[in-house]
Amino acid sequence: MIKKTVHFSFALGLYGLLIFFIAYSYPGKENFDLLRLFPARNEIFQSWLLTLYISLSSLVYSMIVGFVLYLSSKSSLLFIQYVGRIFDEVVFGSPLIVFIIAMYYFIAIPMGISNRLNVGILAFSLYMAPYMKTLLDGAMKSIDDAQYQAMKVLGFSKGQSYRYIILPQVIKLIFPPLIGHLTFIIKGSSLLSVIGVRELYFQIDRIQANLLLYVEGYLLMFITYLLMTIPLVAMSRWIERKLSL
Amino acid sequence: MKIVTENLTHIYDGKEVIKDINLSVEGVEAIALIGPSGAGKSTLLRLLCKIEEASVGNLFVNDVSVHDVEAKEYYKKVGFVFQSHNLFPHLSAIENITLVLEKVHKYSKDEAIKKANLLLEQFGLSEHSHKRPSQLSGGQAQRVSIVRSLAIEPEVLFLDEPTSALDPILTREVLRTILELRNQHKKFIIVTHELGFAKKAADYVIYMEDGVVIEEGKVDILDHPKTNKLRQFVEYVMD
Repeated sequence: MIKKTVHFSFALGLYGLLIFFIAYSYPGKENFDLLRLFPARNEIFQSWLLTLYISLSSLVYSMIVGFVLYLSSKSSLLFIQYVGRIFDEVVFGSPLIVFIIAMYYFIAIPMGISNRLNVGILAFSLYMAPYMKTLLDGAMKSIDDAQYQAMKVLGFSKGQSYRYIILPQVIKLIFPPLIGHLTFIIKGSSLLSVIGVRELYFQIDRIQANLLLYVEGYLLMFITYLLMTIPLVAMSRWIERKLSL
Repeated sequence: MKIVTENLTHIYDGKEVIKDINLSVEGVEAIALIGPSGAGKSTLLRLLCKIEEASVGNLFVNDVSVHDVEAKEYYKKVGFVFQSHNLFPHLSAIENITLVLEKVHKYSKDEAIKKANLLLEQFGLSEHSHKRPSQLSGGQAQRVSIVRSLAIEPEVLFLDEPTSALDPILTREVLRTILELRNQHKKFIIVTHELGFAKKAADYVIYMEDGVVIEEGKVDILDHPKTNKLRQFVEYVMD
């Protein structure tokens, strides 16, 4: 345990040195002052909360859409299967930023929908849905035929099988990778700035431009995003350990 | 126990795996289905238990038409033990048993726990009741699986080579459990390769080869086979 801590401290030290070197060789270091962003703390905090809200909502909606896509892939109607598969391919093949812009300017605005936040969440949810579907598909496949046969001969109805046997196992399996997806969503939510959603990146970007505090602004972005993602990653590791009985 | 099949034929992957079997067995407690690999023993068992539907013919278990009975109703009356234990991995041994009792057979929670505990104790599994399948040995898991099938008090229990996935020591442990079923006069049909065990555990034997019943009769046919095929098989296995 002590050995592990020593190694961890050395690794942290290495990154500390790197940061020190970058800071030392930065030409404008005399003027560097992170505290000058302090007056904008309320706006920054609000946008931090908004980013969390966007990310969590997108996670929930993408799971729902992902589940629908999963069901479509199991449909007996080939047409329905193709509808889902074409959507998957479009998403897997297009960059998130293009997807967001297309959703807002080419779909939402012509339809008279101008709420940037909702369109942003919708775009994100749709974009993440095929990834959720893949996750679900993998977890469902991990329940082998033997278990399905056991459910059948023990007389469980389809509903009971899902509720008491399949879903509890699937949820355990998808939880850790789901948190991985959530961190991806948190980072990706910065792209919603291109349609003017006042999330964290957009807000800090605006403030740093107003106050001419570029270095401080970017540093703050690092810190504030890491404040969301690192605890999540730690939590997923912890849960993974708890679940791997 | 009464088992009747009429012109039973089953085709799997374009191949006839059960060929026109006509059985009429009545008044027996335990049937051993024996024969070389690929003889169709497990398929016959799966047809009797409605896991697969027969391609042609009729089959009756205790006068219930397996073809016509609704699966959900049928599975309230019969139990099936697979080659591997097929326990649900996210539930403990006792939960594997109580879930079936509570949800399918509508026991109250207390009744289900009481019954499961009683059975686990009866089969020497009490100390393992709160372990997950991954924490049990293969033999223990298979015994829990047998207890799970017994808990619903089935009219007939089907056991499909329940020891085939186990080493010799664990096999003995499971076979002892099945002998215990025999002592309790439970009705069962077992597919097995263990002839010595079949002699002890069954009172009726059906010998199959290549999808056909070659010989059937009281368990002493294993000592005095009428057909050459069964004699050769017994000699070969006992050798």
